[in-house]
Amino acid sequence: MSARAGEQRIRPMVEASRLEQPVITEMMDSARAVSRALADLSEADLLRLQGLARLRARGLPGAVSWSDLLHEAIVRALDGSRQWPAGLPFLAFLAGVMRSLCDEIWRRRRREVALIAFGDEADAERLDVACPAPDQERVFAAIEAINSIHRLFAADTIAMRIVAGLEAGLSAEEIRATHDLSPVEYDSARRRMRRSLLRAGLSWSAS
Amino acid sequence: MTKGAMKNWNLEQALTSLQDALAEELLAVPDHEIEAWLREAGPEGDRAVDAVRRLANAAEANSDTLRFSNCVVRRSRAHPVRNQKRLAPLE
Repeated sequence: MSARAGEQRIRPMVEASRLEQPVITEMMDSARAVSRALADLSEADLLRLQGLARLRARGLPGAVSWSDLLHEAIVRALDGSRQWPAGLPFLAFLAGVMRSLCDEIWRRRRREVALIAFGDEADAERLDVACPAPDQERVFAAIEAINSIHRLFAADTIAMRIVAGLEAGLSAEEIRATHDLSPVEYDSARRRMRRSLLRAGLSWSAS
Repeated sequence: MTKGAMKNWNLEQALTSLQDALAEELLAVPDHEIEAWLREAGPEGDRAVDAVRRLANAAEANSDTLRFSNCVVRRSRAHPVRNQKRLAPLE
């Protein structure tokens, strides 16, 4: 093979590695930044993180605990598979990673159940019988999670109205208008909710 | 909630919306409130902090290297080892 032919063959690889280089550098920078941010977390941040993980772990399959979820989120952030966007606060970034991991966990669960139910046929594009098990499990987990959150605020009528509004995806203004709440009533209820959540984040025993 | 809204109510969507909103609340808790809770909680609070710190350290220990598969730009993967065997050395 001539040098020219060899060069022609190798050029796409060199081009590819040139393309990869900034990506690798970016990932390593992100991973290093994550490592530094983890080391710098204050006690308050660590507690917030636990609260976030416990909140998200509600509604997951029973075998997945808050610590599994948080551990996986940190590993993904550190190994560069989830990159920390510039300008986003670190805890908000980890909260987002945990959120997307929840979807991923359910997708994996669906795949596992399909494999158990259909074996090699699970990959077939059209199966005669749909496998309802993972969907039912997800619905039950969601009911349980919503109930546990409702129990948390059950004694606070205004908080329960806000929770109902949040479940429906309403904005603060819409919730206030729907339930005729003044800004002061709304804000103080949100503060009470934050305190309850924080306490619950550390005492919710399940998951 | 109206009858129509109940009919269209999606549990998973409701849970996700609720979790998103409550996650924002947790992120917004001021430091002084958490620090007050920590003082109040005593050893329980310390244990909670330690649990997360240990978990973060363990995760860091488990991911000491970047996975190469995560670094490859989609559709531009090169196979240097396989190709090197076939290529004549450059003059």
